[in-house]
Amino acid sequence: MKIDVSQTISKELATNTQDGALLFESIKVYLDKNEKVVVDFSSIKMVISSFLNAAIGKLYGDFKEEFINNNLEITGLDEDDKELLEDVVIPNAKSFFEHKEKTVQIESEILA
Amino acid sequence: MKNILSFTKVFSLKESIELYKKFQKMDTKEKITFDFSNATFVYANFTALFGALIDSCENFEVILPTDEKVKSVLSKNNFFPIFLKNIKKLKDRSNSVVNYENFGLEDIEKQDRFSEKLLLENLLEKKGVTNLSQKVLKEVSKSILELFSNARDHSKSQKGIYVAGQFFPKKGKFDFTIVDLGVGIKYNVNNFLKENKTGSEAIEWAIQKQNSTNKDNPRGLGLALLKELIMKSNGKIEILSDNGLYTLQQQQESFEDLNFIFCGTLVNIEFNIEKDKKYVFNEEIGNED
Repeated sequence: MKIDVSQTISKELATNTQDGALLFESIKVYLDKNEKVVVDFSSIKMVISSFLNAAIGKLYGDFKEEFINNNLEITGLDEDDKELLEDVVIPNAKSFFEHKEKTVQIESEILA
Repeated sequence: MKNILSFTKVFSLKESIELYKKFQKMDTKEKITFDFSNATFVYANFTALFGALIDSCENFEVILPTDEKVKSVLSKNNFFPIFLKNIKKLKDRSNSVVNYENFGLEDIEKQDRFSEKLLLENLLEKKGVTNLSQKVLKEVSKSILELFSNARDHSKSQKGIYVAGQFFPKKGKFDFTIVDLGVGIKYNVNNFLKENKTGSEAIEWAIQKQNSTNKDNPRGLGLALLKELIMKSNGKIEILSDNGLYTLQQQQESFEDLNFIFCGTLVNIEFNIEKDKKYVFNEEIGNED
């Protein structure tokens, strides 16, 4: 399935987290069904990290990294935004959810 | 006389803080007079703060400056026209200001219009920011929107977000201020970490990459990315929140705990726009025409 980001959020600018959440939900529908998804940013004129966090980063809380690598393809980002996503947003999201998992684990051990 | 806030010269955050401290001692249930009659210079970007203060009053009066220059600049940036019905917005022929504006947290449409102006209509370039490469300009605009996004998602500000900007072509500076009178960084950080950090310690935590008070989603890049950009372009950031003040200037950082509490968050950023200096990213060197 191919998701056109600008069609999904009805905008050319990906600059708010609410729109990011909208894209996250659209992607999740297909990943939940184990379907491969191509997310196309080519009609988007600008994207900021808050949007990418809410749309893509959050997926790392619901799906395993390997599953995402095998089933999600991002296209149409320019070099800078690709770098922002791959070098900043995704590592940040992975570390966030790893930390969150550990915290939940510690909390449940304390409460047990 | 107690409820009169008198403006004379506002050149920096320091004078704005002094005004805020006086305002804090006033009773906002009584009428407060914002007296600009003796104002001889007011940096228009700080109207983001003054507008937020006016909006937090139940009853207010604004007295115009006698100085025509001050009156003109703050009418160009739409500050006086918003609060005084008989004052019309002046055309910004010299491209000296980014309008004073207030955005409700839920008013995504208005926020999107601002993003469009900034990003699609090349607002900064039109205003004379011509020494930044397209790439740097894009990053500056994105940083402003990251700040916006931070305020929207974290401030819980009832009155929303206030912005204003001013260009100083002779000094080669562009100053932009964003204010919310929400819960502040210290409250959010301590609530999240279950710690008791001071205002400046909370800001120090919040500006690190990966640190965010959002419990469910990964966040926390906006301030870190802005800091990187300001470092590269030798600009300035001031973050005032609760009793904390963070300053990044001439690539030096300082953290300070103040003797008063700012109820909300104010971020002031200054970009260098000197005509004789061209700012490009390292990787762009050699790719320039």
